[in-house]
Amino acid sequence: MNNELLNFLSILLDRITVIKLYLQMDLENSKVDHKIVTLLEVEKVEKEIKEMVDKIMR
Amino acid sequence: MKRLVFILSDYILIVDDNENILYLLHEFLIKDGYIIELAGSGVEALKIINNRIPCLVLLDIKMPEMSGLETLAKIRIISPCIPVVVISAYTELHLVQQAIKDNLIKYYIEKPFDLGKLRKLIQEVLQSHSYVQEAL
Repeated sequence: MNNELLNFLSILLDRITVIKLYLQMDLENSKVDHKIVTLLEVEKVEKEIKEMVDKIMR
Repeated sequence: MKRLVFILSDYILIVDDNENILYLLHEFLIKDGYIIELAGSGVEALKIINNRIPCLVLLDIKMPEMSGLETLAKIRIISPCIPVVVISAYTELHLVQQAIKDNLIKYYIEKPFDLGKLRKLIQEVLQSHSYVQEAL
């Protein structure tokens, strides 16, 4: 379980990295608007957390 | 026989299995005037390095098949002097700490990182590695 949790947290940190990079790119006046992809990443984080909660609660 | 290899000061190879991170780092660093090449795995990175030596490698530590540390060990066989900045999450900190003790890693940045800090780190690393002499 420890390894599985570490792997899960690692995936979440990757997703947070992507979200943070999208937001920083937008703050740097990127030509591309990243709002939609940022929202999609947040939804992926939400889904992964819920899946992990279900797994733990089972 | 020795070969003197002059490395272009603006050619960076980014290695990460996360396509979004590859895309974002490409978009960010290309604006700073770097020539960027992307690799989605350690195997792909080694193929590229065998043909063209970058002035710097940004290397994710957690990748499937060949990990960042395995990739780094193989990069060191091809070219011991390429500066490599390892990108790692807090969950891999123990691996990074051990690799620093083993002198395998000199530079690393922790995810989720700040683009300004990454820019500064790249500038510092490139300034201290303007050319590389390699023994074949």
